[in-house]
Amino acid sequence: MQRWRSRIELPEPVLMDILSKLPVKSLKRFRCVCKSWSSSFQTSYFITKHHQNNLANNNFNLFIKFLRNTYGSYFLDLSSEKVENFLVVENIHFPSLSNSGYFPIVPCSCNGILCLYNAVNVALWNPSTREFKTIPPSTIKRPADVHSTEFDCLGFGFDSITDDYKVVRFVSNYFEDMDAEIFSKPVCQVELYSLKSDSWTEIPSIPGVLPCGIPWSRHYYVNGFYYWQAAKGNSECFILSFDMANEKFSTLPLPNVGRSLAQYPMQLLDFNGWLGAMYYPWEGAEKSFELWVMMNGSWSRKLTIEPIPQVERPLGFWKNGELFLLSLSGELVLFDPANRQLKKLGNHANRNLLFLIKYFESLVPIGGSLEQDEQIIRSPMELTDVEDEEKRGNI
Amino acid sequence: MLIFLFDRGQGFRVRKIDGVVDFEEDYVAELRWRHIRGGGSGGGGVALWQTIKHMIEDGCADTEIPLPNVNSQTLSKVLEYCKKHVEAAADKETEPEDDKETEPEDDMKAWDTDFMKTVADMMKGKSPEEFRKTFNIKNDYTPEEEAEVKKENQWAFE
Repeated sequence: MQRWRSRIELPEPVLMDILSKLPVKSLKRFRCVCKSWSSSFQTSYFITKHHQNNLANNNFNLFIKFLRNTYGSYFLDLSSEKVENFLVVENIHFPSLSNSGYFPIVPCSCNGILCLYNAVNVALWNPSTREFKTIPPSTIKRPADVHSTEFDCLGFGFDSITDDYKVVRFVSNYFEDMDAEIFSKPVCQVELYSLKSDSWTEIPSIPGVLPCGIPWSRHYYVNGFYYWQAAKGNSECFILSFDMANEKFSTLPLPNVGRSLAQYPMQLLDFNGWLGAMYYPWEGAEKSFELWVMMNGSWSRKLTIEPIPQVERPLGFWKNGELFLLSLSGELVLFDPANRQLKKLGNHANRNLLFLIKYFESLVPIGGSLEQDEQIIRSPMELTDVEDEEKRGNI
Repeated sequence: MLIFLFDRGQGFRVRKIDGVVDFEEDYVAELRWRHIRGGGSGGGGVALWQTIKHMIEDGCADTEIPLPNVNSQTLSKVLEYCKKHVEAAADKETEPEDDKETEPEDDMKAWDTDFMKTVADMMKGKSPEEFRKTFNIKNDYTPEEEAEVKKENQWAFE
C-alpha cells in the first residue's frame, strides 16, 4: 500500500474565502504561512470581508467591565460560547487609564475598535489584533483665562464616506471665580479627532445642548451616528445625534412612552443596526422592560418583557434575542424572552458596577502599535488575586 | 467510477472502486467524476474533489489512502459536497433549462457556506507548518523573514 501525504488543494479565491471566516488570532499566525497571504490579510478587501462575515454571523465577543474603587476599571474577556456558560477567558487591566475616570471607555465598539479615555488621554484599541494607538492631545485653542478644562461624553464612530474613524468630545472650560469661591459657568467647546489626519479640530455644536444622564447607558453608536441623551437647559430631554460623515449634530425626540425618565430610565442600544431605547423602572424588586426602536424616522415599540424578579437593569442583547441582565445581587444573568428562562452566569457579585461591551473581531488597522504592558495587561488572574499579590509585594 | 469513504478508527480513508455501490455506512458517498467539471462555477468542492481524484490517479488507485490529518467530520463534509455538486451537475445535464428550479442553487449556496465553515473550523487551530502541509502552500519566506513575522505576531502562537 502506498503512503499518501494528506493534502487539500483549493483555488486561491476559495481559500481566501474560507480564511476570511477565521478568528483574527489564527490569521495573525497564518501570516507566517507565505508572503502573499501576509499581504492579502492587510488589504481593505479582505479586512472588510472578514468583518462582514463576523457581522453576518452575529459572531461577536463580550467584555464585562467592572469598576472598583482603588483600581479603577478592568475587563473580563468572556468566552462567546453559550455552551461554555460565558467563562472568563482573560482579565484585562488598563494601568495607564484606570487611575482616573469612572468610565474609561466609550460603551460601544465600532468595527471591532474600542475607544478608551481618562481625564486627559484618549486611545484607540483593537482588542483582536492587539493594536493600541494613543491619540495626540488636542491643540484646540481654549478661551483666555481658563482655569481648568474637562473632557466628557466622548463619542466614537466610523465615517464610511471617507473611510475614517472619528472621536467627538465635549469640552468644558472652567474659569476661577475667586470672589464667589465657586467655579463660574463653563464655556463649552466640541472637538473632533480624525484618525486619518491624526489631529483635532473644533466643530460647531447646537448652542446650549449638552449630553446628560448616566454616561454609561445613555450614549450609543449605531451605524454611522453617535447618539446621546441630551437636554437644553431645564427643558425636556431628547436625543442628540452626531453624523460621523457630515460632522453635524441634530436632535431627535425621545419615544413617547408616557413615563418620566426619573422613574423609568432609558438605555440606548443598537438593535440590528437601528437605534433602540430600552426602558425599565428604576425601583422595585420586579422589573419589566420595553424596547423602542427608531425606524424610518419614528419610534415604535418592538418588544415588551413582562416583569422579571430580582433584576436590576438591562446590559444588552445576546445573539438570538436573549437579554443580559444584572441581577439585584450583582450577578450576570441571561434571560430568554421566548421561554422566560433566567440563567445565572457565574457569580460576579460584590462588584461595584458591571457593564457589558460587545465587539465584533476585526483586522481593521488603527495606525498604532502592538499593545504594551503599560497600556493593557492581560492576565488569567482575577483582579482580587492581583491585589493580593501586590499586598505581598510580588508585583 | 466510485469512491468509498469509511472510518477505520484512525480517520477516513479513500478508495476507488468500480461497480455497484453498497451504502453500508452513513457517510458513504457515491461520486461519478465524469460529471464533475474542473474550474467553472464549482468552487472549492470541485478543487477538493480534484485533489482526491489526483490522489487516486497518482498511483493510489484501488488502495486505501490514509488521510491522517483530516478529521472524519471534515472529510464527510467534503464527500457530501462532492455528491451535492455531482447531483447538481447531473440535473443540469438532464434538464438544462428550467427557470422555476432555483431551489437547488439556493440549497447549494447554503451547502457551500456550511462546507466552508467546516473547513474553516479545521484550519483554525493549525500552526503555519501544518497549514502549509495540508494545503500544499509553498513557503516563500527566508528563515530570517519568517522569524521576523513570527516575532511580530508572537502572541498569536501562545
